[in-house]
Amino acid sequence: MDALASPSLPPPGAGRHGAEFEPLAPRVRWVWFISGIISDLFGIGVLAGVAVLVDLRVQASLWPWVYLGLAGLAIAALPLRSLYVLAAYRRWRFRLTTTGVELVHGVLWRRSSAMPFHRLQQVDTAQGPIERALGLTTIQLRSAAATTDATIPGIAPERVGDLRRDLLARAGRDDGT
Amino acid sequence: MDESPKPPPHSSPQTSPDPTGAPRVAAEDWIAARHLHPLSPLSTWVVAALRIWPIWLIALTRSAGSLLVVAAGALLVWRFVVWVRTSYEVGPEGLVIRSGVVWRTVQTVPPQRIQQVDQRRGIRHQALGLVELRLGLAGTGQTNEVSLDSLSQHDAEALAVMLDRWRRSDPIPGGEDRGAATWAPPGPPAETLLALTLKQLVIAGLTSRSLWLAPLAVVVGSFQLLSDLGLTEESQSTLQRGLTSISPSVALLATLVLVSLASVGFTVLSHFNLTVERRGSQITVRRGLLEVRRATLPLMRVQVVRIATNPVRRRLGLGTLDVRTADLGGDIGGGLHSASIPIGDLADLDAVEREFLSAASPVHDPSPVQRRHRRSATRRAMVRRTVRIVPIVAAASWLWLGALGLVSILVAMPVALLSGWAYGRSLRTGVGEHLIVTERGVFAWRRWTVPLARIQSVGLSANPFQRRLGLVDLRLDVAGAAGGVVIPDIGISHALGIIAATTTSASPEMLDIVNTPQWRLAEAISR
Repeated sequence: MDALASPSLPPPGAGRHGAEFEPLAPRVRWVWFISGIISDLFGIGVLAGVAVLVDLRVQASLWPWVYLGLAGLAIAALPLRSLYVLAAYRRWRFRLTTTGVELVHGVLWRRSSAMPFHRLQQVDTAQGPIERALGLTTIQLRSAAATTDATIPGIAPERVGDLRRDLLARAGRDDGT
Repeated sequence: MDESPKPPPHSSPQTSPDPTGAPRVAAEDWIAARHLHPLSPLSTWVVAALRIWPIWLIALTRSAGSLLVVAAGALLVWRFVVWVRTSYEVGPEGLVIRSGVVWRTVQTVPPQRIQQVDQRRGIRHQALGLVELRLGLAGTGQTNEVSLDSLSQHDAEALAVMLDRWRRSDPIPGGEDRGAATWAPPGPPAETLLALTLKQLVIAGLTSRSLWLAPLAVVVGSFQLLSDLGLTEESQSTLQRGLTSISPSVALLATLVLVSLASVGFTVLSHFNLTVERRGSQITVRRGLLEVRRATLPLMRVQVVRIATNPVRRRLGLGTLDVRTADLGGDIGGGLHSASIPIGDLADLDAVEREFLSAASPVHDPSPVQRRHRRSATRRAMVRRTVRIVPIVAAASWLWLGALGLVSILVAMPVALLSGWAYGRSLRTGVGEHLIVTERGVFAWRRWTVPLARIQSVGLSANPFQRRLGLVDLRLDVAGAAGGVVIPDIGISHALGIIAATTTSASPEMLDIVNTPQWRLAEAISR
C-alpha cells in the first residue's frame, strides 16, 4: 500500500483521511433540473398520448379528470423536481483521500462508494449537451470491475484539469487483475 | 511472410514499465512464428460449412449436386487462404497472433493478462487429432477471448506451458502476487481434487432446478405448437382427440421422463468424466464427452467462488460450485461455465473451494467466522415477505372465492412471516484476514467467498427503510463483466468492518448514508 500511495504527491487539503469532502459545481443543479424536467414532461406526454388513444375508443365520464390529473402532474413536476435537485445537490460529495476516491450521494436511496487508487485503470471525461452549455464535465473512473460506481458529475472547468491529473498520477499500476 | 525472429529482449518495448527488472523468459525459449496445424483448414471448414446450412438445404432439395461441390470447394479454399495468412509467435511482447486475409490484424497478448486457458476438443478435433486453444483475457467487453483453432496437441501444450512459465517468471508489478514466491517448479505431480462418477452426473441432471418448470413449459409449448402449425380442422381434431384420450397424468409423466432424460443426457455429455486437478499453482478442470474441454486456471486469478444448492440436492448433501474469473463475458460464457462443477458432496466441494482459494488464503488458515446479520435484518425480511406475498394471495383468493377467500390471509400471513424469519436468520457474513464469506437462503442456499485482495471497489446503499433499521446493502466489486457480490441488509458497523478489511479506506464520513438519529437509536438498542 505504501508504494501505491504515491509519496511524491502530498494529499490535497487536510483531514484525517486526506482532503475534506468537496461539493459539485453549483451549476450542476441546472443540468439536473433541465434534463429532469425534460424527461418528466416526456413521460407525462407519453401518458397523455396513451390516454388520447384510449379516449378515442372508450367512452367514459372519467376522461376530463384524467386530463386534469396529467396537467396537474405537469405543473407539479416543476416544484417537485426543483426540491429533488436541491436535495440531490446537497447530498452529493466526493473527495480524494490518501488512498482512494470516495463518493457520497443519493436522496432516498443513499449511496456511497470507495475505490482505492491502485485499482484505478482509466479516467474518462464526458460532456452532455446541457453540461457543455454550462461548461461542466463528468468524470468517470473505471476499475477492472464493470459494477464500480465512480462517476462524478458536474465538475467545474477550473477543477477538471487538476482533478484528472491528480487521479491519473495516482492510478494503479497494472496488476493483470 | 514476415516470419523472422524478433530482436533480443533488451531492445523490446515493454507494455508496462517494470522498474524492478524482473527476470523474463529467455529469448531461446520463444516460439518462432508458425502456422496453425496444416489440417486446421479442414477442421474449421466443418464449422463454416455447418454455419451456411441453408445453402446445403437448397442444393439438396433442388438436387443441384454441382452447386454443392462448388460451394464446399470454395469454402475449403477460403479456409486454406485464411490458414496461410494466420500465424502466431511468442516474442518479447508476449503472444502475437497475425491474422486476416484482406484486413490484417495483429493481436498482442501479454501473458500476465491471461486469466484462463481452455483446451477444447470437439468431434472434429478428435477425429483429426487436433485441439482448439482459447485464452481468456481480463476485460468487460466482448472481445476478451483469443482462439487458436486448431493446433496439434503437442503445439497447444507447448504454447500453454510457455505462456504459464512466462507469467510465473514475470510477476505482476505492484505486488499482490502472494503465491509467486512459493510456486512449485514446473511439472509437479498433479493432484486429483475431485472426480465425478456417471452416477453423480445422472443425479445432477435429475435434480437440476430447471427441471421443475420443464413439464409445465413442455405441455404449454406443445399445445401452442399445435395451434401454430395451422393444421386443418380435421387433422387438428384428430390430434386433439388423440391427446385428450391419453389421461393427463400419463401425458405429464411421459413429459417428465422425456425432459429428465434430456436433462440427464445434456449434463452427462457436457460434464462426462469431470476431473479437477491441481498442479502447482494451477487448477485444471477436464470434462465432456463429445467435446472434451480442459480449462486451466491460475489460482491467483480466482475472483469469486460460489457454492449453491437447492432443496432436493441439499437433502442428498449435494451442491454445485462456480468459479468466476475476470474473463467472463466472452461469447460462450467464459469462466463461469468452463470451470464449474455441476454436482458434488458439499463436503468435497468445500475442500475444492479451499484449493481454489489457496492463492488468496493459505489452506491451513481458518475460514472466517460468519456472523448472523443484525436482528433488524430478520425484521426487514419478515416485513418484506409479508408485504409481497399476503396482498397477492388475498386478492387472488378474493377473486376466486369472494369475501370468504379473505380467510386465506390467516394462512398466508404466518407463512410469509415464518419464511421471512428463516431467510433473515440465514443471512451470515464473515470477514477474515484474506477472505470474505457471505451466505443466504433457506431453500436455495448460496455461499460466496471473495478474496479480499481481489476486490476492486466497494459500494454501500441504503433506502429509507434500511436506514431506519441501521442496515445497508454492501457491494463488493470484482474484476470482470459479471461485477460483484452484493451482501444485502448488513449492519452498518459490520459493513464498515468489512470495508476496512479491504484495501479500501473506510472513513467515518461514509457512514453518513445511514448516520441518522434513528440509526443511532437502533444501534444503541441493539447493543
